[in-house]
Amino acid sequence: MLHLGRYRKFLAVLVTLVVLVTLMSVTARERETVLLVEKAVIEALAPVQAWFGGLTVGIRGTVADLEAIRHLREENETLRARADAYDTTVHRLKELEIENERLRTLLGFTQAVEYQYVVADVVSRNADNWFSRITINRGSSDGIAKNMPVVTSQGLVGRISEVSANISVVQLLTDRASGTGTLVQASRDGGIASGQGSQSPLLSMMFFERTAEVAPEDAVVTSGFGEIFPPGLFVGRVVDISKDSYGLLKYARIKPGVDFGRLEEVLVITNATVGVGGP
Amino acid sequence: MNTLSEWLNRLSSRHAVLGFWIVGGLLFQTAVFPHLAVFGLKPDVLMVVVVCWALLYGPAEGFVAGLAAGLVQDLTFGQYIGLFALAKTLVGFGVGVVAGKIFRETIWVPTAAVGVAVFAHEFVVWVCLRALHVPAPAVNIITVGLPVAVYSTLLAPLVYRQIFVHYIGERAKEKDLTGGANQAAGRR
Repeated sequence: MLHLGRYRKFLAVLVTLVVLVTLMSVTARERETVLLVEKAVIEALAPVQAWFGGLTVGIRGTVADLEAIRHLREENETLRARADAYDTTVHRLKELEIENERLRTLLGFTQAVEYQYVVADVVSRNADNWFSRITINRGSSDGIAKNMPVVTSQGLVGRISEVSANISVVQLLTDRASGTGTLVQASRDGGIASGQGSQSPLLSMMFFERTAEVAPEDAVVTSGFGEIFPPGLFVGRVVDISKDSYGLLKYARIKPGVDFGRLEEVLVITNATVGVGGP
Repeated sequence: MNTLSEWLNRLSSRHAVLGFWIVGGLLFQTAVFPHLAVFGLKPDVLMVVVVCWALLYGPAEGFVAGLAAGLVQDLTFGQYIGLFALAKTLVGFGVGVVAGKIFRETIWVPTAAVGVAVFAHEFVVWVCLRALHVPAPAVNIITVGLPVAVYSTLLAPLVYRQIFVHYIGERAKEKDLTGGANQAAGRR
């Protein structure tokens, strides 16, 4: 008994570690439900996190505003010129839209789906440096469900990975456990774009074909093959292309359209076709 | 600084103080430091708290601090519940075991200990990720582990000083109580 008492501490540590390893391997699988205790912790911390985050964003914004004032006049002139150019483009696009409509009717195509969005604020980010996830202030009570795509005007952000009543967790494209079915918009060559963790802002796209036609600055969009993301959502642009050491696989590094470091508001698409299981 | 320590000293339970540090650390880590990230990396505030706590209070408290901080972190964002709890518990306990053998009164030793412990924590996380088949190349031990350890080290003096003041206050209270009891026994 004396010996057991001496090693009791180490025994307690060992038992706890075994329990934690078991818990980790069980929860590592894609889960359809969130544990009650997870929901409670997320919901309890979210309002304070939102306040803290808002304060930091406010301070950072004020500093940035002071810096921006110096460049405002110059920027204003550039924007006016650009707005004039956009007016011309809008007229041209309207013409093309009418023409597109007419040709669709002629060929018997169905109308493209119009997405329905729920606007959400970013509340906080994950605490570690290995994954890339954010929490948003919308949950199942707002019609949010697991695997719904999340976007901004700059492009695809990620997918909903966990949902509680008022808060959801979004797995970003840059998360190392994320993989998105994508294709090069011009050549239609497909592949999988994966994240590389929070320290790398670039995605790595592995092509299905080593003969894929791709060039720097090519636009990359979702392919729609993965059952989670609808086709045609802008992902980013190709930075450079490489092959593996055996020359069998072709890779491209993609710069996402979204600046993940400055995400404050996102849109959740609530009427995209959603499948079961992670990307 | 001292006002915060005085306020913390007034809290009755030691673990209420630990809870305050863990929740506060988590809030800073998830809502403030992402905006102050350097090359996309932020310090591990929770690990700094765990190491400082383990250095002062020993292995059992290091274990409790690591387990509590890790579980809270896992529950807020985790798909892999237990991942950070495992890493933080192991390192917290380990730091507590070696704490008795190092000189804790100077600020430099705990600061260096935080650097080494955070790196060890990132290494354990990397090993677990590999075991879970999450893509994490070996180079990430250096590209993630080293910068996070250095960044976290910068916070160590601030956190350690506050926890140290609380620890000294707690010890003084214990001495007062023991002294009072001895005096009463003497009078009898």
